[in-house]
Amino acid sequence: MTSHSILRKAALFALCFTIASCTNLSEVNSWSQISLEATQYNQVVSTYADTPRRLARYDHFLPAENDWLAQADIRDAQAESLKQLLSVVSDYMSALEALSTDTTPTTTQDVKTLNDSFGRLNTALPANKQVSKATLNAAGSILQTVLDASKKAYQAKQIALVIESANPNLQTILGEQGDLYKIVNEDFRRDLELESLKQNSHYRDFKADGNLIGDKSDKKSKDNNPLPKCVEKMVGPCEIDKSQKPSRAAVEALEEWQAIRKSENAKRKHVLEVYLSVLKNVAKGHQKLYDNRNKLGSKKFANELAPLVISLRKQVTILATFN
Amino acid sequence: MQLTAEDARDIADALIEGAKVTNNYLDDNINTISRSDYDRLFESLNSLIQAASSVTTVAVGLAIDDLKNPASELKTAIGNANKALSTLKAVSKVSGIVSSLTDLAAGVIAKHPRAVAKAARSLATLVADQGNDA
Repeated sequence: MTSHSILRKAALFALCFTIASCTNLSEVNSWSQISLEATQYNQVVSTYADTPRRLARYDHFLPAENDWLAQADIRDAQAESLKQLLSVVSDYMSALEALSTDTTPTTTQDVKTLNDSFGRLNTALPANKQVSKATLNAAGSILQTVLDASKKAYQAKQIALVIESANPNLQTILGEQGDLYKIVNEDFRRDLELESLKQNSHYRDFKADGNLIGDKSDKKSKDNNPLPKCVEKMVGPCEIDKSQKPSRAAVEALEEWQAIRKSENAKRKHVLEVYLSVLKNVAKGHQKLYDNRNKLGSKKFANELAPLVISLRKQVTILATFN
Repeated sequence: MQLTAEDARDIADALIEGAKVTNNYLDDNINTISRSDYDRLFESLNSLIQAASSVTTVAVGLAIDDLKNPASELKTAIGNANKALSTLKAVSKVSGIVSSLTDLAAGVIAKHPRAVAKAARSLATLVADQGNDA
């Protein structure tokens, strides 16, 4: 094969791949990057695992405390499994991010090295068979285009294949009908609702026994059991002087504790809602990638994906403030 | 019949519903109910809360079991992505091999033994590296 025929073939390849070289995967890359960050967040899992320990403090010294602590041990193991699952999802996003990274600049040096070698080969040829320096430079430029285009075409094709094989499983995990989504939306949500009920029950019991609610003292003073159960467990049954009102400091302290616990619970519920939106957006984004897998580099698709990336970035920023 | 995550969720939802009703009743009637009624309802409420929490733990455990399959299939997709990535990275190595081959050819044409030996050595190293990465 003469050097001229090599150049002709290179030009033909360049032509074939020029269309593919228009591929721009930067939006896919941004989406993968922010989804990677989103799926690395696992605070909601720790909150779930710790709920029995938080509730155990309301049953301090009661037999129920041991039941809570036993439940906490089971949940610690579950949390480990859930964190591993989330790390599989974030590993996937990391692989997608690496695969969609723009690789164009890396070929420049390769082509230069190759072109230098061609130059050395050219000078080794007899003078009448040598190609001009200008032709050699043109060949290098064509080679660069071919290399970049073929890399991008291969890259886009591989991303499409990876997305195609991952989408059903990713939707089974993160989608609105997915198992992880249901765990967070139903089980974690119920868990925080239970915490809220337990707090309410605990502080109402304190207030009732401390005569802080209306004229309830008349009803309860008939009994010989005026202390909240947890206090009774600590000090034993005893009579208190019901005629004496609790101090203002005691009343205010109790109100403040309850308000603190309530706001902690409200914050956990807020984080849960944001996290659910994150899961929803990641699943939705991946479904979009799947639906458009054969035109991932198109400008139209990049425009469709961009708002989702922005919204996901905002949600991830909110979650980071609660870490 | 085996309990599913959905069955466990239905039970947990029924238990929390019972807890909410009891809690609301206590909130609304705290000033009027007798001590014994209060105690009974207080105990019931706490039992319902603990039972709902315990069944929630069961539901999560069952759902985690359901997630094992899709997670392991997702790992296969990660493997494919990494394989494609190493192919992309190998393009530079391939162009390196082509360069060495060209240098080798130049050495042969110029009948320059030292250049041939040098290009052959560099080609051998690159090919060996390529094999190690595969």
